[in-house]
Amino acid sequence: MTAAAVSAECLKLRRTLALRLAIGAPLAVVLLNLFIYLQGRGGGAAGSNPLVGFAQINFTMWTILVLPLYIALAAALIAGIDHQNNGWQRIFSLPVTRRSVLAAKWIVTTGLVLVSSVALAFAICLGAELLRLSRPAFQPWSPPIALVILRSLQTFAAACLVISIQTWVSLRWRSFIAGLSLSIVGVLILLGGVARAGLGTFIVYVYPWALPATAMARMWETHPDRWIVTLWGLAGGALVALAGCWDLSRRDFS
Amino acid sequence: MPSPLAIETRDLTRSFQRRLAVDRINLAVPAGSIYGFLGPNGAGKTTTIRLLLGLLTATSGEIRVRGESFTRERRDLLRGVGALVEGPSIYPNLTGRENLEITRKLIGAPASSIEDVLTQFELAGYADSRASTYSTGMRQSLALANAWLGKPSLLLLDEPANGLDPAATRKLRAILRRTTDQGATVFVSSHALTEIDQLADAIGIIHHGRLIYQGELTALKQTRDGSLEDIFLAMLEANGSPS
Repeated sequence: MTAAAVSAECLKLRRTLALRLAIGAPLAVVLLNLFIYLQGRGGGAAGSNPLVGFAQINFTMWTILVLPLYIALAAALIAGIDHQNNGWQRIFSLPVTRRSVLAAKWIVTTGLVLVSSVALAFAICLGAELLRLSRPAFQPWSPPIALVILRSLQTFAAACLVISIQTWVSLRWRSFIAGLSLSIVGVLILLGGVARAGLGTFIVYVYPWALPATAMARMWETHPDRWIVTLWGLAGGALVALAGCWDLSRRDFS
Repeated sequence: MPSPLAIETRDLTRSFQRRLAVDRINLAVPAGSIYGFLGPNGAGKTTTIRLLLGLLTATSGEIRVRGESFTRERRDLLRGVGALVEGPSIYPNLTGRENLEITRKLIGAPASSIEDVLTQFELAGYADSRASTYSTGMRQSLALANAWLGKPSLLLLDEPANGLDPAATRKLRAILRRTTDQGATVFVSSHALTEIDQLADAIGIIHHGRLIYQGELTALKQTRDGSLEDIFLAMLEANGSPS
């Protein structure tokens, strides 16, 4: 039944802003940084691959600013499809369990963020290749494709906790304001204090909005903390999703 | 032996905070009939339909559909139910066909059922246009087509003729009659008393959350003078509402 509900949710996404943003948001980040790099600005320390620096700046902008807001927007838009036009009444008067419909919403929101993470990785690699071709200083280096894909997937996994929180809030409250306000407060706290705390401090491993940034911090290094936040993001996301489905399946929808 | 009642409620009650929206109503909807559910605005019609579909949980009381407890067998019983609640629920970004496809996927109906209802509700020519371009009447027709997917044996329709032009209303009447001739039951909530007068076999009148009348329409008209509208307004007045 959940498979049918997921299939129905995917169909509902056709021609929606949520779907366009899944590609558009990461593309905008990479295009902005590519524009800056093509102006001759941006580079890297002597002897290090400048294309890793290009990937890092994209990941930083993505995880700290764009991803949290994109998740909030995607969750709100996907929930909004049924908050509007009596959608819940239509769906819940069918012989489907509420749990399967809500689980499908979670799966589709998470899937959309996964699509945007893959699009980000693809755009970074393409942008790095364009830089290599257009800036002589970058020509000896090759784009760090494997590293970008790995960090992109780790960032996505670490973001699952925020995805679940935002999905719960967006399904629970009809208004866009609830989800977007939460996201803005989450990002402000991240920018105002958590991001400055730096790696090694407890808060960057537990604060939900910090997890994606922690997962890609100093992306060229290998450190076990990255796996801790990745697993915490996944496990926390699954737990919050279960709690959210349980809570929402007991409520009256109108 | 199958139950002679398609829907039966016992002391069905729903309150919102301290306000009683539905107050101990005992519906008895005969199987194979068209049952008109009447009441003024805010009487509790839509709340009752939402309770019958399990969209709201009852504060107290019981619902039985075809003799089975709805609370226990909700999902199985909803397999044979088509519904239209509080106006058409349409995804405007999707085409008419895609809108129906969502329901079809969820109820597991055959793909051919979409073409059947598109033809039945005269939407075949607009099936691949986006629903946002549909007129009010077309949206209502699409919502009705959605309710008819899967050939339900019980239809719960809240103001089904809203937005339909006279020709489409007449067509709907014929479809409703044909549906009951095939053995299905139709529960229609409506303000349009002339529609109910022409269609219903039995009626229930709800006022301030209480069922103030229930029975066969012909029997009611034999015992009282005037049109259904006159009888309806007189009943409301007798139960504490100005006509």
